[in-house]
Amino acid sequence: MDDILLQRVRNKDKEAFEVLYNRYANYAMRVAVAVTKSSTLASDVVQETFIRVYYNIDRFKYGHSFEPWLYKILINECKRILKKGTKITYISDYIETGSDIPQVDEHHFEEYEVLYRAIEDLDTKFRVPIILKYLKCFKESEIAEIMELNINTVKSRLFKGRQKLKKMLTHREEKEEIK
Amino acid sequence: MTQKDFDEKVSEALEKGTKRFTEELQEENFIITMKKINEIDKGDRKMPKRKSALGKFISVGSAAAVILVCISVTQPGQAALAKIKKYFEPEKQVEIQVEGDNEIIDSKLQQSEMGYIIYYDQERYKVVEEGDTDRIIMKETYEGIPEVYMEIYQDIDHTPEELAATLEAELKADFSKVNPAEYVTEPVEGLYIHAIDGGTKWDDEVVNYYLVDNTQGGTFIIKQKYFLEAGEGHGARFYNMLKEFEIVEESAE
Repeated sequence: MDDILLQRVRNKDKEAFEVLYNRYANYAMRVAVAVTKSSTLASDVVQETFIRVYYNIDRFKYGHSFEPWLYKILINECKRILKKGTKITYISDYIETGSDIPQVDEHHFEEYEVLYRAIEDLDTKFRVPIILKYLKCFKESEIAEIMELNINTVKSRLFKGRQKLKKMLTHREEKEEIK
Repeated sequence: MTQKDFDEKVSEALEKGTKRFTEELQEENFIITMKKINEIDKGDRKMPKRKSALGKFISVGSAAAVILVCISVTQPGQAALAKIKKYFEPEKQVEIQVEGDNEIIDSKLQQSEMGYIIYYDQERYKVVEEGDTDRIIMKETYEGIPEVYMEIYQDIDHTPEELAATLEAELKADFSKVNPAEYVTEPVEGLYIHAIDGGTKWDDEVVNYYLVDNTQGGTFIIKQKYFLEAGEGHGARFYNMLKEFEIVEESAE
């Protein structure tokens, strides 16, 4: 991470903030979409996360890796927004994802879509570490830091998450074979 | 499918599955973010509040309830909860002996996502969940009274025997007397280590560890902390509560 850029953001330089945003927003949005399963909620998460980064950048310690700090804020925002908005269905998500459309035939899905849906079906406690590891390539120790968990719990959740995904995939493959 | 193939497929699914959402929205989100920042700077909008340490502390007090709610809205959670409810009453009365007298204690079920349940004395104690540790603490604290608690956490990588040696060594650095680990069957089945610092003053620190096999190659670590004079009070209450500790199989998930 560029210390000069961070220093400029500390000084409330908005151009520097835009550079910082452009560097990290793409994957922040992807992670937020995967966690919240909604592009509308994910947009809110990303906006609130970067607002917090802008105002709290002085809390970030020099010499530390920036991304775990950023994603800690992002995951906390996801949790907060999910808690607040679980009962709301956004029309935009309905249109984008086509979720709950009964006539969709899984047979025509690409392989990755089947697996992506299986990831979406995981409980949040398994889904979040899987997303952080496989989409963001965070180390287990970094996931532990982001999620404020013991590293052994992270290992266990990753292991169980993978097991559940494998089980779901086998189940879906068996269903396909029957068809 | 090899592990490597599986890992690659998961990464690919997440890459492709999230790609379509990001491109158009990135710019739009930046414009909204800057608009909000400008409103905050002008005082037209409030800065998102950061939880104070006190707020965090208060909120962890209700974490058990929150976890119950979160569990209850998910399908696997519902199954697990139904199974737990089937076997364990939410509240029950437990008869214990404290300082020579028999007492009937109103006890409340605490179910942990770590995979155990315990009944705790709800009149005197409450459960605080801090990260991956469940801590049973006094409902009311008094100035000048040393810290008292019983906490339960898990080490999934080490057996009780492996942990015992490490804990003994750590305790020896802080306590004047550390009893070597011994196998006990009461209040739980596992290894027990007792340590006391001093042993003559009323407020000398006492720590007990119970290391219980979690049945999956790891250990539930139960730590009791109180002070010398509280041995027959809190010490006995923790001992009796621990009799109600049970590991819950995760098969319901």
